[in-house]
Parts: sequence; C-alpha cells; structure tokens
Amino acid sequence: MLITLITFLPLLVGVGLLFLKNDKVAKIIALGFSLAEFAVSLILLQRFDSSATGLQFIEKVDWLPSFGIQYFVGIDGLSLWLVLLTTFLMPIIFLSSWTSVDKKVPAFCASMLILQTAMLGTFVSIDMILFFVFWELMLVPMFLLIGIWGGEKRIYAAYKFFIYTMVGSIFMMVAIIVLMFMTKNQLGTMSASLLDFYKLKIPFDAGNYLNPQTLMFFAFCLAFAIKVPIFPLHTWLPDAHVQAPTPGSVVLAGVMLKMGTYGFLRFSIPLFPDAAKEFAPLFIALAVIGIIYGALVAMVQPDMKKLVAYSSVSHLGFCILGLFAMNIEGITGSLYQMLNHGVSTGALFILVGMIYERTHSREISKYGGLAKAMPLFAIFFFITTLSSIAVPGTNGFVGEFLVLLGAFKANKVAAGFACTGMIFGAVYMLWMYKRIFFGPAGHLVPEVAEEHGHGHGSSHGKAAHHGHGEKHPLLDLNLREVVVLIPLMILIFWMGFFPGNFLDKTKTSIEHLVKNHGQYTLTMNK
Amino acid sequence: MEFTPVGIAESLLLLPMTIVFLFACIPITLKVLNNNKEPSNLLTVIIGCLGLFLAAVLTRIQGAHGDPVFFGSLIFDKMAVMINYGVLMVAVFTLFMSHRNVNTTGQSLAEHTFLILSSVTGMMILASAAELMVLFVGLELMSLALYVLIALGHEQKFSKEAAFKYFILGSFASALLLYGIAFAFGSTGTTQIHTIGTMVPNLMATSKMFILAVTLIFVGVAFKTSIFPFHAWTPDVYQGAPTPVSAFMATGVKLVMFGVFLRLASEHFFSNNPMMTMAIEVLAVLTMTVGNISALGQENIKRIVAYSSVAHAGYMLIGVIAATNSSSPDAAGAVLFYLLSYSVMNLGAFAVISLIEKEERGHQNISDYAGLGFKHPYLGVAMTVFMLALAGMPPTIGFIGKFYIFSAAIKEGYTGLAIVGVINSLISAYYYLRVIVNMYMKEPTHAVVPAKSVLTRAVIAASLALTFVYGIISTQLYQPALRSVQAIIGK
Repeated sequence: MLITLITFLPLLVGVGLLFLKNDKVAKIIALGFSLAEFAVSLILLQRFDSSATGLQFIEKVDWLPSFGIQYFVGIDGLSLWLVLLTTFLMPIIFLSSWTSVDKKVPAFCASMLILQTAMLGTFVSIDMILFFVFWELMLVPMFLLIGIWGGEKRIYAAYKFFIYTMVGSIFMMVAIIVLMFMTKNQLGTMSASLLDFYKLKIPFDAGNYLNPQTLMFFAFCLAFAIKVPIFPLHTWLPDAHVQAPTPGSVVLAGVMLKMGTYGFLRFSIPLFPDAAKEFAPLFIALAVIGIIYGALVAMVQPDMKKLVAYSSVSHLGFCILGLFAMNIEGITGSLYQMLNHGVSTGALFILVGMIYERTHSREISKYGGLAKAMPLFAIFFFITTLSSIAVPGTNGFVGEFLVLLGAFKANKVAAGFACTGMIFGAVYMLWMYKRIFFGPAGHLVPEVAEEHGHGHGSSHGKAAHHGHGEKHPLLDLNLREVVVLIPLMILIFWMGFFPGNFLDKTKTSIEHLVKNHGQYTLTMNK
Repeated sequence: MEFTPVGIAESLLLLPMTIVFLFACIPITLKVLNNNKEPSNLLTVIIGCLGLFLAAVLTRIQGAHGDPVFFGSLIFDKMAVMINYGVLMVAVFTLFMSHRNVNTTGQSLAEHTFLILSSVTGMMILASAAELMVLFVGLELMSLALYVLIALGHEQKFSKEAAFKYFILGSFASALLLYGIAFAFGSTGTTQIHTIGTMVPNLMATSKMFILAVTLIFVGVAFKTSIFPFHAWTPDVYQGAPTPVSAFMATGVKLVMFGVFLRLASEHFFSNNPMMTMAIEVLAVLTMTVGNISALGQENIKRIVAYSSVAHAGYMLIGVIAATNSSSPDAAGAVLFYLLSYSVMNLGAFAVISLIEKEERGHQNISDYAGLGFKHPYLGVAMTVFMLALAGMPPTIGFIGKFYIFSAAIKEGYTGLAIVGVINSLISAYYYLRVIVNMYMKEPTHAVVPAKSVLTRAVIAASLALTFVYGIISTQLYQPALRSVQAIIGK
C-alpha cells in the first residue's frame, strides 16, 4: 500500500486544491502536504532492504486482464533514490515559489502535485502500460505549467515541449504493444509486465538493421533520448527551461530529465541487449558530443537560465555515457549523476529564480559585483557552482568520476573526450560566476553601501540612465530562501563525502542487473 | 428458403423501436391539439427521454436473439443490442442539450424531438438490418429526419445551406448505395446479407458486377461515416447544424454506420479481394491524415471537432480492416468500444460548445474560449479533459480506445497502419491543445457567458465521469463489446 499511497496522494490533494479559492491556504496545504509526503517516502527508505535483489514493496492487481495488463508497482535500487529525489524536491519547490508564483496559485499547486503523481508513477511502474500512462500523464501538467506561468514565449515553448515528447512516446507505445503480443507467443499468456518482457527472446539480426529488436530498441530510445535529451534531440530543452517558471524548470531539470536516463537503464538496454550492444558506440558518441557541445554552447549564453539549461545537456551526456559503458562503475556513476544533477541543477535554477525575482533579468552582462550586494547569495551560488563542476568533496565529483572510470574501461577515446567536457564545464560555470559576482557593479546592481567608497563612474552613469524606477534594492536572501537552499547544500556535501550512504542501496540492484542481462558485460572493451 | 411465420414473439422484438416512434409523436401531437402552441420545452424533453429510456429497458428485457426474424430481414443479436444502447444514450444526451441550446430551444422543440426520435428509429433499424433493403430503409429514415433537423435550427443562413448541402450529397450517396444493392441483387439473386456473405469468396473471383456492387455499398456507407474522399460535407454541415444535431450526427450516425461496416465486414464483404482491402487501407490512412491536417488551421471550434471526427473515422476504419480479415472478435470489439468511447468524449465536447455558443453562430471560434479555463473552471476542466481524451491521452477512455484499436491492428499484422495511426494522433494533439491553450493561456478579449442549462451541464458531467471511469476500468465496457461481436465474427 505504501507505494500506492505515495504515488496517488499528491493527485488526490492536487485535484482537491482545484476547488480552493484562497492562494495562501493553497500554498500552505501544498507545502505541508509535500513535506508529509517526503516524510512518508523516508519510511520507504528505512524499510528498503539493500541486500534484496528483486523488487520490493510490490503491489499487483489485475487491470485489463484480457491483455495481461496489471497495476503492478514496486521499487528496487534503481528507482528508490529517484522516488526520494522527487519527494525531496517537491517541498523545496513549493517553498521557493512562495512569492514568485503570484497568479492562479491553487491551480499552480494542483498542477505541481498532479505532476508529482505522474513522475512517481513512472518510477515505480513495472507494468509497461501503466508506465506509459504515467509517462503521458506527465505531459499535461507540465504543458500547463510552462504555458500558464511561463515567460513571454511560453505558449510556443509549451507546444514544443508537448509535441516533442509525444513524438518519442507514440512509437514506444507501438513497441510496447508488439512486445505484449510477443509475450503471448513466447510465454503463452499475454502480459505487459516488464519482468515478463525481460524473459523474451526478441529476434535480432546483426546484418540487417530492420530486425524487430533494433526497431523496437530505437522506438524506446527515441522516447527516452528526447526526454534526456541526447544531442541532437535537445532543442526543446532550452526553450522549455527558459520559458518555464522557476519551479517548472526545477522539476523539469531535477526529475523529468531523469526519466529519460532511467528509461534507458530500466527498459531500453536490458530489454534489447543485442541492439543496445550493437549501437552502444553510437550512443557513446552522441553522449560525448552532447557533453562537449552542451558545454560549448553554455559558455556563450548571455542568459543565465539558458546557460544552466545547456549545462544540463552536458551533464546528462555523462549519464548516458555511463549507461552505455555497460559496466558496474559506469551505471553506478550514471545513477549517481542523475541524483547529483537533480540536486545541483535544481539548486542552480532556484538561485537563478531568486535573482530573477529581484531584478526581472537573467542577462549575465547586466550583473557584476553582486558578491558585495548579496554576500549570502554569492556563497550559496558558489557552493552550487562547485558541485556543478564536480570539485572533489561535492556530489558531482563522485558521479562524474565513476562515470569516467566506467567509460575508460569501455572506450578510452570517448572517455578522453568526455574529460574535456569537465574542463569546459569548469570554464563556463566559473566564468559566469566571475561575471555575475565580481568585477565592477553592473547595470542592475546598485552601488554598495557607502563605506565601501564610491563606485565606478561608468556603471553608475548607466544605472542612473535607467532611472530610479528600475533600481532594485537587491536585498540579500531572506530566511525563507535560506531555508530553501540549506537542504540542497547539505545534500551536495553529504553526497560528496559519504557516497556510500547512497550507493549501498543501489549496489545489489545494479549488480543484479549486470549479471542477469547479458549485454551488461565488458564485451565493449576491445 | 423456409421461414417461420411471423409470431407474436417476433413482433414483440420490434417493440423498442415502436416505442421510440410512438413517443416521438407525443409532443408534436400535444402541440397540434393545443392550437399549435409549443408544450413546455422541459415536458417535451422529458417525454422524449422517457421514450428512449423505455426503449432501453425493453431492449434489456428482451435481450439478444441470434437468429434473424421477419423472414430474415432483421436481426436482434448482441451487437444490435449494444449499438442500440449506444444510440439511445446519444439521443438522450442530444435531447438534454437541445433543451436550452440557442438554436433548438423554444418554438420548434417538439418538431425537433420528433425528428430526433424518428432518426433514432431509423438507427435502430439500421443496427438490426440483416437485409440490404431494410438497411436502405433504415438509412433513409435516419437521413431524412437529419436533413430536416439541420434546417430546423434557428440560425438563419448556414443551417439552411448545410441542410441543402447534406441533402444533395446525401441523396447522391443513398442513390449509389441503392445502385450497389441492385447490383448485389443482380449478381447473387438475394438481398440477405448473410446469404450474400456465403457467396463472397466465389463471387469476388468471378463477378466484376459483384465487386462493383460492394464498392458502391462501401461508398454509400463511407459517405455517412465521412471517410475520405466522401468527407467534404462534414465540416460545413457540422458547423451549420444546431450544435446538438451536430453532436447527434457525429456520434449516433457514426455509431450505427460503423455497426453496418462491422456487420458487412463480418460477412466477409470486403475480404477475399486484396485490391479492395488495400484500397480501404489507403482510404483509412488518407482519412486520418486529411482529417487531422485540415483541422490544424481551423478557427471555428465546430469545424475543428468536425475534422477531428473525420480523423476518428479513419482510426476506426483501421479497426474495420483488422476485423475484415480476422477470425477473432478482438478487432471488431475494439471498433465497437472505440465507437462508444468516441461518442462519450464527443458528446461532452459538443455539450461545452453548446453552452458557450450564441445566436447566429456567435462564440464559436476558439478565440472565444480565451480565458474560459479560469473564469469557468468546471467548464474549462471538462473541455480540457474532452480534448485530451480525443487526443488519446491516458488515463481517459480515448487512450484506451486507441490502445484497443492499435493493438488489434498489430495483432492482425497491420503494424504499418498502427504506426500511421499513432503519428496521426500526434498531429491531432496540436489542434486539441490549441483549445486548451486558448482556455488557459490567453487573455479574454470579450465577455463570454455560458448558457444556464442544467441539463447540458448534466451531459457534461456524465460524459466526464464516463470518460474517466471507462478509461480506468475499461474492461467493464470492453468485455461486453467483445461478447457482442463474438457471435458475428468467426462463425
């Protein structure tokens, strides 16, 4: 019951919120509920048996018996942390959007909570049709979040997000149905359960790309690759991120992109081992291109949020690289990197949102010298930057190190190129940090208190030119904002110094996966 | 051939359609007796619904009878019963909507109700037709009532034009159908569908006249189900007709005419001829694609729904193709399920349109829906759900309907058609989303006040509930649908 409870309670509360009229009450209920939800999900963590190989907390009820479709949920080491990441980020999102979302608040909270159900549902579903239902359900609240609370070009971005994601999923749907009929032919009874799909022998022919396994592999991969997003299918991401409101970006980067990588890990690769092996070099190449391309494009972005969005393309490239390295280190690193990215990129989007709320501008060139005006903000931003560029001691280091370790075992050239991505990552993040926080005070940054002496004439002139109406006082973080950021900062260091606490839970599942699915062998290593 | 003489038991089977027709006459008789003064609108609707409800109860009591009656001209099998339930539900919802719709309420609602119920009688005959001439009679009864229904709208210009257009084209299609029936009779010597069915394998190989006959019959039915290239009337007529009538046509007519398709398909009318199967496949692809692509640029919401109904006919045609060459009832059951699910979503959408629209085609553009989502949250949520359901998003009935159709197609080896189908649902997502975008993401430019109609709201609520309930526990509807076609498929 626990999983069902965790999955569906947000939906119920969300639908209930739709009937509310009062903004404040809606916010309080949403925040309170999401905290409670997180607390309940901690029970999941506590009861989780890290030594068990199979699924845990299984619930199985017949749904559409004539097609062998069940309500079948359960979690293992692969999904446990993603579920917790979702429940952990949700209260943070609500608290961070306390003042930034000021219109249609009950509907906002409702969309967020319905989205939470959809996200949790995709992580816990073992039945593929059930998975697909949640996967598609996710589109609607996100579409509304971008389209209603987003920026200027929000409608365009919302369409683009929806259509792009749907392009991927429709072919997956066809592939799922084909697999269901295969279970009927091969196993006697029709089933949509992933565990039954794992047992299938899907015809594969290395000489001919039009064999069923390759086709279905790509049908699945298209859905997940768009979601991740893998280069060159990433173009929806910057639009969606830039236009989405801060909480939308956080949930998009923090959780939704992980569904793509999780899909590769759970479905694409284990279901179609031969095709995955055959095309691993392709995906490794795309991952490396993504890492470097994302970093280079991020470097030249004038808009902070766009920079962070492109950095996601780069970071997610590491996840894909680790998965297709197809060894324990790579997969472990990849899974860890998914969590890291959720925490640190989530934090970055929240930080960008905080400054945007004050100045209504995300243009890097309009800032400068912010460290003096907002010292607390500067500290938090710095920690997050360190995590994002994977400095030892932060979470990012552990993930990227493991991924590269796995990649070196699998493909030295690719790993070598991927390393340059790390360097570029440091370049664009630190450069942005320097431009925002140091140097002469920018357009939007007021002269800092008198005792620091009179500032720089030129920038002062420009600021004056804008008139007093546009002067923002630029107060440093308030208590609420600090409370929002503290858990993320703790997690950055905790995951950096004690990765064992997290990896213990995933170890058995990953080993089990590698052992039981032939493709996860070191045959890549030539 | 020997027939049992007509007995009381057989005659009783006609009771449901007789009841519908009798109740059709009550409001209009009241009107005549009362010096041509319209009885209360509510009374008219209640009488009409009572008749429909009684017919449903009688249908339930009588149950299904596998063998044809009346010298083999009518058959009251499970499929006919299922379709009858569907049609009766559609008719009740239509009357509910008509009660306060700007184009039907007031002075001629008694006539409107009479025509709707007459049309339903025709539909019930169609659903039970086991003989081509009876099929034609049912079709004409249904269509003639519809021609008048469209023209009866209070809107002055477009409803008349639509009625005229539908009448001319519809008569032409009926003539082709009749021509086809004549050829079928000429080449087989009978008009019994089942008897012809047993001769099909032989005739398809030897008789060009029979192929022509089947083609013409197909065209006649395809016209009513708006299958490409016989779909061109659909947007104009749906737009011009009073919204409840559009809803009735989009759902009721599709329901029975696809029932006819299934019956003909189950008698192998379209099989044993690869050319014909391929032609229907091509038509299915074109119907979906043309319907969806045409809908993309439309501004009038009724035209959008009309083109979307063309596209949905294409999805269902995939199911019909799968059923044609299959010995299992899965595909036919999927089509039947899809028909019912499509009816539910579409009625809901039309009910919202019916509430919003104003006299003389006012407030029918999607720009009129701007800001509706927040100003009228219940309507907004309902319309959003119907649009998403039509687009095939889970967990609604629209998703599960598509799932059944496409899985049946894949099962019968039409994976290509299924892929075209899913690509089409992607295209369709765009214009369904446009409605949602207008409702939630645009600022209203002028005040739009929905009509105060409890009955129409009841239709919306019921459709909404059915959309979710059968989306989640679809087995409860799929199994009966499957059972109802089991008797005719694979015998």
